[in-house]
Amino acid sequence: MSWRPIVLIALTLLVASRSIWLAATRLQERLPLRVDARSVGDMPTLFEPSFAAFGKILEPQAKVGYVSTNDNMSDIRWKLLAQYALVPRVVSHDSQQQLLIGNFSDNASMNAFLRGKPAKILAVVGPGLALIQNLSVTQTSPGVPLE
Amino acid sequence: MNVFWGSFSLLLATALGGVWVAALWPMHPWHSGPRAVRLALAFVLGLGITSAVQLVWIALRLPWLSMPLLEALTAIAGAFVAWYQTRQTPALSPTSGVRQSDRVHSWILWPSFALTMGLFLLACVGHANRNVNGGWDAWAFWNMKARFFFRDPELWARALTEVSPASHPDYPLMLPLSVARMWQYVGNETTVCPIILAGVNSFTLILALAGATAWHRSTSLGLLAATTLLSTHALITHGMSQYADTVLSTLMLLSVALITVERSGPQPTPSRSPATLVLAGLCAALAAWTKNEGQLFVVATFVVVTALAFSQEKPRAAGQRVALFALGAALPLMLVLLQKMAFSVSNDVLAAQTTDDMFSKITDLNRHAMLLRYLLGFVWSIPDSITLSLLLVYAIVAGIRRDRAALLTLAPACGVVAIMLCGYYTVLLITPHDLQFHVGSSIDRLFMHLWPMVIFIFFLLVRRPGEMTKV
Repeated sequence: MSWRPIVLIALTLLVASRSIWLAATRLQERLPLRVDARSVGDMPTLFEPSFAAFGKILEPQAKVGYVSTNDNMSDIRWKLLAQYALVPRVVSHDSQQQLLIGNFSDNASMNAFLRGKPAKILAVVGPGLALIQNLSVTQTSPGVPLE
Repeated sequence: MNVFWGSFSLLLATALGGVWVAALWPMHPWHSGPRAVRLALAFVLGLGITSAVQLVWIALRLPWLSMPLLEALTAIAGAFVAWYQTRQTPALSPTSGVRQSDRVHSWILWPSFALTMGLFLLACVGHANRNVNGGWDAWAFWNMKARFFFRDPELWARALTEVSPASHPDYPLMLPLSVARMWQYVGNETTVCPIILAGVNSFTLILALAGATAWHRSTSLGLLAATTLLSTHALITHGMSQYADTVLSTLMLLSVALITVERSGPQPTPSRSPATLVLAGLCAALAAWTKNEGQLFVVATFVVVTALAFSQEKPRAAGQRVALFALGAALPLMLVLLQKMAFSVSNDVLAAQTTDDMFSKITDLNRHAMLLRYLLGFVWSIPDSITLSLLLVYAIVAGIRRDRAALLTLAPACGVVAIMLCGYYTVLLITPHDLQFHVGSSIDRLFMHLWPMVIFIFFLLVRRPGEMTKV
């Protein structure tokens, strides 16, 4: 019998064993199977409810801007998360809208940021999280409950 | 109940796809290779058809019950075509005579494949429980669009026109529509639906690779190919991250496998049926309906099909083959064009720069050097190096097929992969984003698009144990 088939069988065994080993390692990395997504830092699970609170005060047709001073809070992921939570409302990634979602580390930072600016807090939905009216924009956005 | 209705909706989609596969491609599914390919085709075609039905249903603002009714009508139409086909032409038997020996290998591989698959599926469950909303792209782009479709049928078009460019409004709609359809069946916006879809997508990719390789080569090589794919870490991370990349990979692989069998199938008579080219075109165009990279894939497959047809046939016959491919691609491509034209959405890579900007990047040699350095750094870290080394030794020991039939078999897949590589390289080269960031954030996904095809090519090239006597 030629040596080649035997070597091929050995190689097949090795590839199969390696594959089983890798699959077992990946499973081990993901144990326990049942886990609370909040405990592993799943961003939407952790923070979507905070943004979803805006949904109760904004009309479905609303288009809002986004403002923050904190670099971390300005991160594009937060803007995308706000959009994800508030569908079918549209969250523009700038502050040139009549209504703005303010996302700050706390209320004190928010008040400090707004001091002296043509802006008014309409509703605070969580710590450092508020719906703000940008008074420098006069054109009314669709679906905005200003009164 | 969410799991039940979510799975039921996917089962319906697969059944609908299966009816159309039977209609377009009458073949007795006796052998495991074509049977696995047909099952994978049924699933992806089902997703394509039901997403199109879902779009019509949403756009026309029809009542809820009309959606399953529209799907049932589509299935009845497919069943009628299938019935007509079986009356007109005898059912084609699948290829035979290429799968013998290899028994020892199969005995080793079946249990190890089953064990690996079982561990993989458990790891998928663990991964999904840690990322119930999927990866960043899943919730920020794909599922966000699905929410627009599900939450407000009046305002869904905002997902394509008004959302920020960072939300990629230009992304094709097959995946979001499929998720929204599952939510429609379940009745609420549960995270279970995209998780089930992601799991089935990953399984279908493995099935498609095993089936396509078994079809062209042998069951043992099909199992070895699937085992190799299962050893890739990116499969679980991207598969269960609820991205569109796994479906895209499946569609690309199926299209290439069908073109391969059409050009130089193991047994010419049944394999070179017009249906394989129609289905190949359909899969290619559904790839374009899945992700923007799929649009490049349509061009690549069209170029390869045209080049092969005109190099091997007389102009009239070659034209007919190209027309068959185009016929299959027509409907999904119309959907893609409709989205692009009706909503005039811009692409972030092209919209943010002028032609001069792009030209200066293409002629910048330092940029080429930087890109190549990044690419080589990333690419070698993605597949498992030990598995790669073992396969390399396998190829050396088994030998490489050098006959004309083998080269003909390899031509379509190699041509498509080469064009796709050139396309991906060019897009990364002209990107307006930071080069290192763009490469880092996309390379493993781009790799996963092509990796199943590369594994497929490898097993087309290498001799199987049954061919060892010919060495």
